[in-house]
This record gives sequence, C-alpha cells and structure tokens, in this order.
Amino acid sequence: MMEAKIRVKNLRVSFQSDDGRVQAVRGVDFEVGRAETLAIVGESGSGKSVTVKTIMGLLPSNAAVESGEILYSGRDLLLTDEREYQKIRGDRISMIFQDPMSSLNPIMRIGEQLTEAMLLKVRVRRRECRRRLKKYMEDLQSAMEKAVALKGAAIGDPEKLCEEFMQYAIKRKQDKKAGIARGVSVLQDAGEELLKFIDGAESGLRYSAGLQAERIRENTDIIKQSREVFLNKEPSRREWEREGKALSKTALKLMDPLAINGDTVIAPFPRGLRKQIKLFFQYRSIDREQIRANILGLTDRLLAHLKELSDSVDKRDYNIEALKTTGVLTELAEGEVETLTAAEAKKKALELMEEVGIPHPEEKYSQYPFEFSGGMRQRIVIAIALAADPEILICDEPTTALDVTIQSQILELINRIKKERKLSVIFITHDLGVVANMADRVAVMYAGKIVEYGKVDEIFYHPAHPYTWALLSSMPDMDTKDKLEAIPGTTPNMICPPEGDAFAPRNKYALEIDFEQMPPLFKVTDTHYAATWLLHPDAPKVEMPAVIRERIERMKERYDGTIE
Amino acid sequence: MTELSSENNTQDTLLRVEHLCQYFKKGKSVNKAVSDVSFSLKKGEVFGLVGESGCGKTTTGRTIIGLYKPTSGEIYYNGKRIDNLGRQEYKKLASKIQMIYQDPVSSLDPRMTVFDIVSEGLLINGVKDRSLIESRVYEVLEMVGLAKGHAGRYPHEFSGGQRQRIGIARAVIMEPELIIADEPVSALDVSVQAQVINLLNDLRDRLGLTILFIAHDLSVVKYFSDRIGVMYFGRIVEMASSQELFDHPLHPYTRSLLSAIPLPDPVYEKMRKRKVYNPGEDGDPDFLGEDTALFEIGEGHFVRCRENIRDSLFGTGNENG
Repeated sequence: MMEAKIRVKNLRVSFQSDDGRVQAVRGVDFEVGRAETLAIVGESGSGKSVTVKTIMGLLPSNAAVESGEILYSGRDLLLTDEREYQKIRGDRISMIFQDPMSSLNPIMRIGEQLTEAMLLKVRVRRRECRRRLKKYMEDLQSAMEKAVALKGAAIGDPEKLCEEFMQYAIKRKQDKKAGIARGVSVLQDAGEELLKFIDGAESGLRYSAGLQAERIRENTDIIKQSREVFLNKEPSRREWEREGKALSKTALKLMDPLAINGDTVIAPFPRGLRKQIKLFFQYRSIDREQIRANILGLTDRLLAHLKELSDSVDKRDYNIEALKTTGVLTELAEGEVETLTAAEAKKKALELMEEVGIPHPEEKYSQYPFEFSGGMRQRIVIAIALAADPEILICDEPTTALDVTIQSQILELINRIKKERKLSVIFITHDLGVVANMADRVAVMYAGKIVEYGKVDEIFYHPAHPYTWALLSSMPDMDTKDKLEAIPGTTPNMICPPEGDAFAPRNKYALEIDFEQMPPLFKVTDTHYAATWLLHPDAPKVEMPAVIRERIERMKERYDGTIE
Repeated sequence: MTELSSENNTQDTLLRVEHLCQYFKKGKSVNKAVSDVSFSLKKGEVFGLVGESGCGKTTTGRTIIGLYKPTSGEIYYNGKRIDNLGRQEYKKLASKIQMIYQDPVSSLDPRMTVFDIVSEGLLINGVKDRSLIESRVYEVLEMVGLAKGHAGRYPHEFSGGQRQRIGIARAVIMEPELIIADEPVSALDVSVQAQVINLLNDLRDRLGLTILFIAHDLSVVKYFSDRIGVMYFGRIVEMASSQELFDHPLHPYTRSLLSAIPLPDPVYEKMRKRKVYNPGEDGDPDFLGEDTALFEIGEGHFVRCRENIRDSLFGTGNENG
C-alpha cells in the first residue's frame, strides 16, 4: 500500500433536525494514496456527499461531527480552525460539484473567475507570510538574546543576525525570479553569516525548548486535575465551560513559539475542546458518552504529547532543527516578496484553459458562463479547481448532469489530469459504469457506512456484499433481457437506523443475525473487505445472483483469462 | 425525400409521424428544433428516442401530444390526422395519449392530494360518479404499487420513486393507448430506476400500452425498447430494432454515442476508446446536410446519408429505401 495522502478514520456525522438526530455518516474509514482514485458509490442519502463535505469543512451549522479524524499532511482537519482551513480548501484540496452552472458566477467573465482566486491567494499569502515571519523572528531573537545572556554564548548580535538573514532570504527569492541558479537547500549556498545565524538559532531553539519543558513539568498536574472534571456523571454546562477555558489557557501557555510549522497538537486543542463541550450540551439527542470519550481522548492526547516533549528535550538534535527552521523561514520570506501581476495571472489562466481542453482560450477568456455548453462549463470549473495546484481533487457527481458523450470527455479529462499531476481523487457517483472507468479502489456506501471496500476489479468481478450485488443487478447492461432485479423498498430513515445490517430489510439473502447485530468488516483478500454476515465461517453458503454471475462469466470470456 | 416502408400504413400502426418540423422563432433567428422527423409506432410497441440534450427528442414528444403546433408535417393517430385538430376535437382524443414527465417533483401539484392528482383526469372528462372515481383511483394506485392509504397524502410525503409512480398512475387511469414517457427514470436513484422500469414493463404487458420512450441513458433504452431512433440536431440519423442498432450501428454519430457508454466492467472500461464524431471535419462524408435522407439499409434499419454515397458505404441497400 502506497502512502496515504488523506486518511479518514471512524468518521461520524449527524444532523440535528426537528424530528431528531439524523445519523448521516456512521463510522467511515478510508484512505486515498497519491495518484489514486477512490470512488464512493451509493444511493442518495447514503452519506457519500456528507463525507466529502466534512473533508472540505463545508458542513452546515446543524451538523455535528461526533467522532473521527481526517488526517491530511500530519494534521487533523477536523480540529483545524477556519483561518487555517482557508489555506487548505480550494488550495490543497479542491472540489468539483455536480452542477457547473451553480458553481460559476453568472455575471462574471470566466477569465476573472479563473484569476480571482489566484490573485487573492497571493495577496493573502504575502500578508500571512509577513505576519508569521515577523512574529517568528521576534520570538527567535528574544530566545537567542536570553540564551546569550544566560550562557554568554558567542554568537554575535542576535538582532543583526536576524536582519542579515532576512536580506539573504529576499535576495534568494529575487535571484530565483531573475533565473540565477541557487542551491536547492539553504545549506548549499550558506555563507559565513548564514552559518552564524544557524548557530544562533540552534541555541535559541534549545533555550526555548528547555523553557517549555520546565513549564510542562509545572503544569501537568493542573491539566490532570482538569481532566477529572469531565468524568463527572452529572455535568453542569457552566462548570465544564469554565474548566474548558482554563484548560485551554494552560495548554496554550505551554506552546513552544519556535516549534517548526507550529505545534500540531496544542494549537488546535482549545478549538476541539470548545466544540466538543458545546456539542455535549447543545443537542439532547446526541450520544453523550461518545462526546465525553472524545473530550477525554483529546485531553489524553495532549498529555501524551506534553510528556513526549518534556522527555525528549535533552535528546533532540537542535542543529538539524535550526537548519529546518532556516528552510521554513526562507520559504516565508520568499512568500512575502512573491507577486503576481494581472498579466501573469492571465497567462496562467490561459494555460489552465488549454490544459482542460477549452479551444481558443484567448477568445473564451472574456466570455460569460451562459455562453458555454454544459461540458465546457464543467471544464471551466475543473480549471478553477486546478488553479491552485491542489493535491486532492474531490468530484461530487461531476458528470450526472451531462450527456453521455460529454460525460465521456469529462471523465477522460479528469483521468488525464490525475495522471499528469499525480492527484489523489475522491470520486462520488451512483453510476457503476463511471466507477468502472475511473476508480482504482471502490467504497460502496449504504446508510452511512461503508459496506464493501476493495480494488475496482474485486468489486466488479468478486462482489461480496448483497447490496453490491443488488446495485450491480438492478442496472440493465447491453445484454440484459430478463426482468430487472430491482431493490425493493427505499433507503432507511436515518433518524432511527435499523439495528444490525441496515440493508437487511431490503435484502433477500438476509440472515436472522442481520436484523440483530451489525456485521463487522470481514476480510476477503488483503485489499478487499465486506461487512456482511454471509462471510462469517458459520454462515450458510450463498451464491451471488445468477444475473451477476452470468454477466461476470461473459466478461471473463470476452477477455480470455485476463481476469482472475 | 424520406419514404418509409409501406407496412406502416397497415392497421396496426397506432401513431405515424411524417416529416414533422418544429421551428422556434426568436427574433430573426430560427431554431430548427425538429426538422423532417418521420417514424411510426405499431400497437404494443416501445419506440425509444435517444440523443443528446437539445437534439429535439423532447420537442418531438411534446408536439405529438399537442403542446406545440407543428411548423409543418403531419401526425396521424390510428390513421386519423391529429395535428390540425381544434381544441374541442383534440380534447376527446387527449385521454388516449398520456405523458409521463422527467421530474416527479415539478410535475405534481404540491397542494393537491394524491387522490386529487390521480382523479383529475377523470373529472375533466366528465366522470361524476364518486364511487366509480374512488374505485378507479384505488385500483390504479394498487396497479403502480402504492397503497390505498397513500391517496390522502401530499406529494412531498413521498420518495422520488413513489412520486414517479403517482405520475404513472395519473397517466394510466385514463386507460390510454399511447404513453409518451419523457426521461421517466433519469431523475431517480439507481435502485429505484429498476423498480420504475419494471413497473412500466409490467403495465405495458398488462394494459397493452404503446410507449414512446424518450431517454438519454442508452442501456436503459436498449433494455426497454423494441425499436430505437437516434436523433441528432433535430433529425433522426438512424433507426432500427434495438438489437440491430447496438450490434450494427452504421451512422458515425450512433457509433460515437455507443462508444461513450460506460459499462460496469473495469477491464472493458480501461480499453474503451471513445469514437469522436465531428460532422464535416476529418473528411467525414456528410451525413447531415440538407440533401441527406433516411435510407433503408437492412430490414427495418434506416440510416441518414447522402444518396450518392449510400451504395459505396453500405453496399447495395434495399430497393424500397
């Protein structure tokens, strides 16, 4: 298994409605690797859209994420605050929606729509980089000064060193723009002054980490005491909120301001805690023990992290860290002086339009969305999604509103871009033909759970879950002549989802246990799992429906042994 | 110009459309939504019309049911011309031709109960006997798989598939001979699509319905229809029995359309090559221009092309083409 770009763990999302708690997503796990497409298939109401909207941080206000983690580049997106999220959404993770017209502004020329985000992002990034760089340099400088005062370490004047570093970083950026070759890393073109700075940074980092460890030792007991409050069987909202605030304050005090890229456990802690406490008291119907477990989990994770920090304080290699820090600072400085003129943005937009297959981009650049056909509009939406060069592309039924020939073109386009840009794609659809075309791996969702998960060949040639069978046999293909095997009934009401296997009432292969107990995910192969009691060793042997068996036989004959 | 084989004039032809043209004028420009479309439906047959959005398939259906007056051309129902009937005359006929719409949400009045929706047609046609109306409504509801208890509810209380069943019940209660189904399943979920297709199939057998099935999902059309007409830019470019059309597509547009269907078969999908159809480009022989016509190539298999290239492309065609 290749390294996962994004990993979703035990995600549970519910909506609070007048009638009660709608359990839209009930424990979903999956991961997507680099240059891989995961297709999520299911009927409407199966929770597939809610899952990806959670990833994008686009849930409405009556939604509650009850548990779970979404891990992306070393952090949990569910704990990320809105400001941070804006740097990820549409930038690192982009999304394409079903209806291209509703994701385009009808009264803006498409050229503007393409460049708007690019220009804005650069401006925001400059401001952000300037702020972060200034703050970090001040913190570093004061840490260095204290280190000098403490040990009299001979590293020269911290203020001067910091200033020189800034000039170096900006010059590096300008050289890059002018095309003058520079070493890839800071170390490669480090001059004497720069080496001195690295030395200074090292002592500053060491001093700061020592200070942090000391504070942690002082405060650990306070945090442990606070934790006890959340064990209270008869909680009071005021008490919890007061305690939560105090705990957050203590935690923030323990942050090392010089940690590279910020502290990924302490920084999001207050927000996560506040959210969970709010959930606990806000909704009557919510599973309170689950939320309590979440709060305790958060606190335990914080404690473990703090312990690790204070234990490792003497073992860390501050020289390496200083080097890394210099690299990050150089990047920030580069970001600060980065500019994008309207002309450059236009050039980039035209390249993008070319890439997504819009003919005569120069001419189309100043047209309005209504002047384009459905397929062309969807291409524009894809171009906008690609503008920030994302790593992950989420497609929510991008071709459902399109004609079959246009659909085919758009699918080809997404596939091509995925290969060229090594994108991770999450593709939502209910069309199994599209899944067969796009997916590397498939997750079949029903009633908020993944019922079958595997490689695309495994799902289509060795389906194991009765729901997958039902989906496959309910659609006619080119050779279908008999009556279609429709799935009887409708999807269950998610306010009170059925006990046991949610598909059991519509499933003609259901066993008695299906109505009583939720089946776990049984392993079929190393990459193929299905949640059905039929795979239990004690279950009666049930064959998949004849329609599918025959269809698969036909496919096998057609390819003569290429399919296992 | 287009000549269809003479068997179309025999008695079992229910609907015959000849040289139908429907132009929409907008200022000075004329949108030729349907131009020179001819086909016929035998009793008990399902005829599928497929094509991209904007190719005129829905307009054709709506013109047949009298929602538009055709610009030119004739429509015969049971041998009687119906496109030039007056309002009163048409009304007598209307109950025999019913339509099922694509979107079950917008085609049902949200402020009417199911009973009112389904019985409205009977009332309009002057049925006054309350008990007869009731028994008919319940009978029809049962026929489409709904319960008697559903009659008092409002459309918003139903799922998409059930709403489409109400739409079907409303059409079926008039005991129609011809149903024009305009994309009846494309707004529905996969699993529900099969339910509705099965229902339509069932009703067709039980009531001996003739159906004009308009859709863009080719695998559904293939499964459901006896014959298929492929439309492109307002014209029928190819028409054949569904098996023949899928086995031996002749018109380049049909081929391109068929090559675009994604199938639930990963190995096939990895190998599938989409055929591109650019009329007029790539040295394609012209299959669309004004001087083209439908020619019968095999038995019941019509292809639109220019006469002088017909023989070189398809060998000697059938003489009555």
